[in-house]
Amino acid sequence: MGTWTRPLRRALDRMVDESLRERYARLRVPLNAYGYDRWGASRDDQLRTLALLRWFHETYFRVEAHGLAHVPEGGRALLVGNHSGQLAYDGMLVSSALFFDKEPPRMTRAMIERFFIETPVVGTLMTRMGQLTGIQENAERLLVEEEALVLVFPEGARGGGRVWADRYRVLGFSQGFLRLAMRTGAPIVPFAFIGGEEMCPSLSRGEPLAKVLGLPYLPLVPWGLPLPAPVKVHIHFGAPIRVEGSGDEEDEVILPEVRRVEHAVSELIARGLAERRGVFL
Amino acid sequence: MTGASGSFGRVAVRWLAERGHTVHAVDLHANEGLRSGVVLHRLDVQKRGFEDLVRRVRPRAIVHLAMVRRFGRGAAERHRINFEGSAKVFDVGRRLGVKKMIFSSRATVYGALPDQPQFVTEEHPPSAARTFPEMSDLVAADLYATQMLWRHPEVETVLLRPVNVLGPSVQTLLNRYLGRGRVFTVLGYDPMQQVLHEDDLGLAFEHALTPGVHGVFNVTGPGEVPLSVMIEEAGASAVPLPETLIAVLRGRLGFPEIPAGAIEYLKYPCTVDGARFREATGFAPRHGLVSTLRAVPRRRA
Repeated sequence: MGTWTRPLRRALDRMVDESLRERYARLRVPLNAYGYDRWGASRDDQLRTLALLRWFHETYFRVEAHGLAHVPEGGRALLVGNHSGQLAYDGMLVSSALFFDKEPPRMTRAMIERFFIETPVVGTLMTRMGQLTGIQENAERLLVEEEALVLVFPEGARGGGRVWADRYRVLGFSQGFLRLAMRTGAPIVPFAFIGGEEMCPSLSRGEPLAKVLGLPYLPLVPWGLPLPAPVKVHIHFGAPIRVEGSGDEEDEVILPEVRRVEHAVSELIARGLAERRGVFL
Repeated sequence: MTGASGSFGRVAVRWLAERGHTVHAVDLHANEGLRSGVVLHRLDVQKRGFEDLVRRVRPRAIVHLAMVRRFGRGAAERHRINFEGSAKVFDVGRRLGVKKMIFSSRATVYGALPDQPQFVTEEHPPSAARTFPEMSDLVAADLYATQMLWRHPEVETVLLRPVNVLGPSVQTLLNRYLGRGRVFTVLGYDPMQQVLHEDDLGLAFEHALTPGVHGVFNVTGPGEVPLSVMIEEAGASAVPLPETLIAVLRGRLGFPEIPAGAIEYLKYPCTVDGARFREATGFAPRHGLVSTLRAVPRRRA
């Protein structure tokens, strides 16, 4: 990505050590001669991101992942959880947990909001890190052809840009992920992300102004910029949920199943909150 | 073969003639470097002479490549040649009992749109005109060929939508872009690109001629790389500019005169799924990613 980012890339390259490389090799990302996979993920950029993420994961957020055994060791699966934190910090930490704490390590492919992919620099970085536009066809291809682990936040921007008053409440899942699970036979692994609400609380979505600026939301964060506070993060994974069907069923068939997954996530959130000793501990 | 002197035409004529086919090369313009097995006919496909030729030689197949792709030509002329010309050629072939008709479109007809699946299949509507209205005649010609599949099932119609073709013989907008020493890119964007070596395009035409093969096919090569890698391998250097500046510079200060819609292809991927063609014909590109990317004549900045 251009010569102007070279010093930053060099600095991050120095943070990439042998153990990280070794762990990354175990993901067996299908890379071509130039170090890219077909979606645009780059080995070098993924290593740099992971090196940076390792510090956030271990030191800054002290992430603790519970129930990692519920995530299959191999084969397709859909990770579905609560979204918070204004800027997808939750997505990054879920993927770092599955990379650093899971045995064997797994690569997570997050389905992200189109708005981010269309944003210059941000979209390119997201692509290089292995994330892609949240479109059914993309997710289906990843699950079926690459047996991938796909991360979905079915609350979408409503969850990402949520306000403090809605903290730790499941805001209603859209049904796309469920039809996807039916179509591909992928198990749904529910999870709760605890800490996301406190790391970057927002008092307002700033809707009228956001609309004028063409943004999905404009968070009003007490400390100004939507940067995360060093809270302690817990991620609770639950037992996989299997759904039967073709994916083309009427809403009446789909919606109760969506509620079932919402319920599983809510229960994991409740458990996570009850077990947590404090926001920063 | 119509449009035999064009970029794709030269590649296809050479490939097929070398493999023992007799090629009747039809083009309005001079065709330099004729080879054995090639008969040159200097005529307009929309005039009477073309029909007489088809009646006389009774070809096993018509490969229709006579299309204007330069955006400098007027919209009316492009429409007349690309859309009406395609319709005319198909009509002549069908009436005179030609068994196979091969049309060549491009994967670019799908458009470089951020809300599109990353690997577009043939079922997807060719939506390029949404952001690139100058492409509408090419999209119309493409859709015209696809409707022939059900309107005239007695004719084996093949519509190929190859990805970016690279090589010394091709003079597409992309090859001209890569052939410059310094090329501009859109700051903050680096979309994935698919490439196909010109020899593999020739091979694809050969496969399309196989009796029984018919349908709409994306044709993909050895893989995908970001635009920046493509530029680097072509021996050029990228100059990232803000999108607003490109809009102003377009056609000025030595910047190429390209339509605004073409810039979308420097921002978002227009990548396709080529599985259907591979499965239907056993097509497998012979050139790998590195040799395909280096097929553009290098010119250091």
